[in-house]
Amino acid sequence: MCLSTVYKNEKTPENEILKNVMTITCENGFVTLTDILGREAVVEGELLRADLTGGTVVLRTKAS
Amino acid sequence: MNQNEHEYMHAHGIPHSHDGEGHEHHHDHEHHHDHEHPHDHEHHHDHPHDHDHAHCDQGSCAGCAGCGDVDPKTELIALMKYMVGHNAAHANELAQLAGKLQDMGESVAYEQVMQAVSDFEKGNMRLSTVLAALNA
Repeated sequence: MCLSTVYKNEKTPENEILKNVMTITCENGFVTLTDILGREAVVEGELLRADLTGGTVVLRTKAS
Repeated sequence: MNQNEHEYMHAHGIPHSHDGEGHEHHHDHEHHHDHEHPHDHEHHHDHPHDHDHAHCDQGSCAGCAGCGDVDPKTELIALMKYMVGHNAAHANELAQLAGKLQDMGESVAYEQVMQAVSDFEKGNMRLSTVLAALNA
């Protein structure tokens, strides 16, 4: 699976932002996530870590 | 939600990007706030859209209706469709890998990998059939 689940700050269930993410765009301090159905989540923060084989992405948000 | 953290979710059929540039931001849909949400930044969209738009709490999606009314079956079918296409891409990659083995003189390994590719494609064909039935 090359779709990712995106978390904020730490990979924990409660920190999950969006599953089945196809695209991630970082711009002007915001991270835009788009899932397989075109749903978006926009989070203020930056990319912290991407495990592309594990399908996990962690964002660093300004505050949790 | 922390006032500095701006997070929202919406659903529509066309993925798009936010360019962060100054641009117009048209909303012709309901927009609910159940919390204080001061902004100390400008945030514009370059895409007029028509859909529910609700700020969600800490990105917790479980039980949240803010993502739009997506039928679970629709989501599963979308996932399956993605996987079938993805599997086909991986099968092609494996076939290319097999070709490199052949170039290296590893003919036995080449044959075995190509057999695996064939098996992989058969499995993917079966998934395609299920997908077609679900879409019918």
